[in-house]
Amino acid sequence: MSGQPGTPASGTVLVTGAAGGIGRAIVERLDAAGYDVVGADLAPAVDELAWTGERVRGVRADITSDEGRAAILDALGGPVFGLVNCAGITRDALLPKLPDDDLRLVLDINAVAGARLCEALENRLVEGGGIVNISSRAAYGNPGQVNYSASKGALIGLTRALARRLAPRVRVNAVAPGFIATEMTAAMPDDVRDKLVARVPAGRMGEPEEIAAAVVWLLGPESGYVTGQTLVVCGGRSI
Amino acid sequence: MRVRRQGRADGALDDALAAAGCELVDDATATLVYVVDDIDALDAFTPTVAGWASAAREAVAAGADVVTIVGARGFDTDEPAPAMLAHGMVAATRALAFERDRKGGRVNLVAVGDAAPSEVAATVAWLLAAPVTAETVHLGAARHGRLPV
Repeated sequence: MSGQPGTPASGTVLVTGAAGGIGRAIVERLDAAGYDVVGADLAPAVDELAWTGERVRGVRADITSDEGRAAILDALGGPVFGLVNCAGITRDALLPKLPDDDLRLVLDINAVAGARLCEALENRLVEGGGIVNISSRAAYGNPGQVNYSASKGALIGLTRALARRLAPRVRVNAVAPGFIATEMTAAMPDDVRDKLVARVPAGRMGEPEEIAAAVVWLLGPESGYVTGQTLVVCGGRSI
Repeated sequence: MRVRRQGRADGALDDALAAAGCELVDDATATLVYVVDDIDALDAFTPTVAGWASAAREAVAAGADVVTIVGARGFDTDEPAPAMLAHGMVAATRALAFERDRKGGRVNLVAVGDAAPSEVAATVAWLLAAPVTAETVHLGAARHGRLPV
């Protein structure tokens, strides 16, 4: 298993939300780093993950259900080196117009399901392994995203609590992406996207691969003294 | 200062708010002071946030400000559920404050550790009058040397 700086990456890493733009980039980067990867997603596109690398398997499963999580655990088999909680959805609206169902759905998928997976894997994670929760810059506040912000803030809380609970055996960190070029942002009108980019000191959207690089670093031995932290990868937007 | 109290019942806090000069009324246009329930189980996370959101939704629709009170335990624990709730409420407060900012609305959070009801009420009364929004005020649980939340 990986653990000491300089040792090659090995072990199995579970990535949820693996069929999405950021999730898929994480899967590919973990594969390239030498990990065995199980990618889970509800979307049928997860079936294509096996094409991304020899050590990659896809599992179609709903992480909000007991059955879905059991299917993922079955696919993982034995000990697990890492978990990347990347599954997430948005249902945006200003709070007065935000339906209660949309509020609950976002909280259940983005926050509670990830916490339950951590719970389920807690005893399977090997010494030196890690958890990376994909939070969001929205945890620092975004209008029209009370539900999403709360869910991503909750993941920061989960990260801090589990970092204490699982230390020193397992490290737990979070990555908070800012404005990232995905299918979702590609669908935005150009003027909206341009206004958002204008607020980013880096002057551009981030790439999914840049989030993936942060995740792989946080799972790997080079970040061995880092736990309980949230790395905000936002091109300076949160300054 | 007109206040609408919702969330967890707390007679001592209500008495202290009245003593601090707040008039407790049942009117959606009055500032919402919402006490969030403590939780221990993950099952309680979503319903608890949704309960706050329901009250906050009604308040902001009526143009009211919001002060939320949450236990500080979730900022200093290895238990996932209370940690998720506390940090989730910080984020929700910031997001709602952002939404309300254009109309001058204020949304803040008080995280209560070892503090008396009179101290909580005094802080709420200050927030009702101060030009402050999107902030988390920690009472009775110092966070020096710790990560900001």
